Amino acid sequence: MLDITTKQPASRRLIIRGGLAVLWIGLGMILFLLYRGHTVLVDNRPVETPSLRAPDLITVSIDGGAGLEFLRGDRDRFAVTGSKHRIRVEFGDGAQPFEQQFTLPVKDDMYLLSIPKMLNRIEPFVEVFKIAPEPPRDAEEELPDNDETGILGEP
Amino acid sequence: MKNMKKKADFRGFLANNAVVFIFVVITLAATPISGLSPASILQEIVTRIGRNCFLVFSLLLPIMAGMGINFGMVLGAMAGQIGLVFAVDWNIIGVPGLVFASLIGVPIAAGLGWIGGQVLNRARGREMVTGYILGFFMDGFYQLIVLYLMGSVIPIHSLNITLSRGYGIRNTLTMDSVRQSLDRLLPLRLGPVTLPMANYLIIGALCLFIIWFRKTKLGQDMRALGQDQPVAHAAGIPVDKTRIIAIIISTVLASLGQIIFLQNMGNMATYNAHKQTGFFAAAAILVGGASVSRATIPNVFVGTLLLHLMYIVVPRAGTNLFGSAMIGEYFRDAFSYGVIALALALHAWRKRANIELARSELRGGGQKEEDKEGTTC
Repeated sequence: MLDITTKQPASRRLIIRGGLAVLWIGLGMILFLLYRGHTVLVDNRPVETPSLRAPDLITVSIDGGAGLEFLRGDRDRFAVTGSKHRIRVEFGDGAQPFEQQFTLPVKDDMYLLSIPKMLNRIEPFVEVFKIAPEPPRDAEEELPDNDETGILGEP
Repeated sequence: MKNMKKKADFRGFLANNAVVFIFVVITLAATPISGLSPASILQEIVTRIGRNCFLVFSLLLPIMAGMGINFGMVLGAMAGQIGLVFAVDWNIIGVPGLVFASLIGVPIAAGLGWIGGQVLNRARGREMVTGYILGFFMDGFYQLIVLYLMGSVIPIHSLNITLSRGYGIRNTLTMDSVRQSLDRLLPLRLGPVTLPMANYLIIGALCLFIIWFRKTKLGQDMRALGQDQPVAHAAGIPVDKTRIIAIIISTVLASLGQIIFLQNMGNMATYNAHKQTGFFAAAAILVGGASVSRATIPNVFVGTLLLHLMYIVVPRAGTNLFGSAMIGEYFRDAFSYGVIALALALHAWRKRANIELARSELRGGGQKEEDKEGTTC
């Protein structure tokens, strides 16, 4: 049996390998863009500047998922995947439901979506939400010990 | 004479399957003492086979290529873990997160496999112990990367997975984004037992790949190497290259196996998870009746089943018998290490016996034996 790979010219082999590398990286990027998870904090608190009143009772669902009830002043979290999403707000007083599409940038993990701003079409109603960094702990306490790293101790 | 032949065949059968028999006896004795219900044992076994088989399969090709048990598979496990660190860091959800981890882990595993193959080619005849030490050596590099470079040189963007000093990955990584995503992809409920069908489909595909691979030219070359390397070399087979390919494939499969294993566990002990991977996989394949020179697909399934059956029932039996789970744990560890030692000793004994037999046949010993038997009859 002949080894076919040795019969291929170097340039053709290079093209095939390059194509495979591009395909590999491309697949990684597609997965990254389509399946990157984010946390959206839906915030139904009144806004001070400009002064906006939050609705008394609403039911919010994102991407057709299960709805969550919000009273005025409530804040809750939704886990979403990807960057493009559709939010639906149903009002407790029977008013026409509100639907809006929004896009989350890929970079950050957590975003804050203000319901009063969105209902009043004030941009940006979605903002990055940063958690305060954890204060440094005692290094001895949190670093892996010698048993965990497998580093031999002193004789 | 017929009786003697039958006796010899039976002794050969016993010697070939001694490890399997020992495990069957231990688990059969421990099962009723453990007090576990058949349904719970079955559920545990089904889950553990789906979780561990892929890792055990990664040992098949190096054995086929005559390189023994690839203890260097921990290199692949480390690569898989690095892939998972990035998947968790970027919070890629579900099965795509596992694919993402594989896309990162596989090239690293291939590179490490190439390095491993080069080293093992220079340590011909001592592949197993060299692979074992190579695993320890690369573990140091892994720690350098994960404990010091990630977060300082290599960008890690999530504060949730870094140590509070700002660089290095935490000792235990919670993998919420990918936890049991493969197990829950295609669950099949059969009475009290839930089968993780996606795992089994992947394992089935791997079995088909191995069956197909053995029939390819590369597969035939590997089998030829496993039979006799000088003869394979004389026949024009590129021995070194084929051995390197066997180790690369094994390392890549180990990286995928580690990803499947850890998604089921749901947490990753960042600095420990890979260390025992080679040991447990080796124990499983040897318990299944394989030797360091011969292994088949059924060996993988039988071994994983028996080893994990023992892991499930023996600690509980220890608790019920002695009032301490720790005694059961000690038994479990002792039997696992013991089975590797026994399999290696049996292999060495069998090899020496075969050499003696071949030598005596060359001297005409076989003829003398026949004459002797004829006289007796």
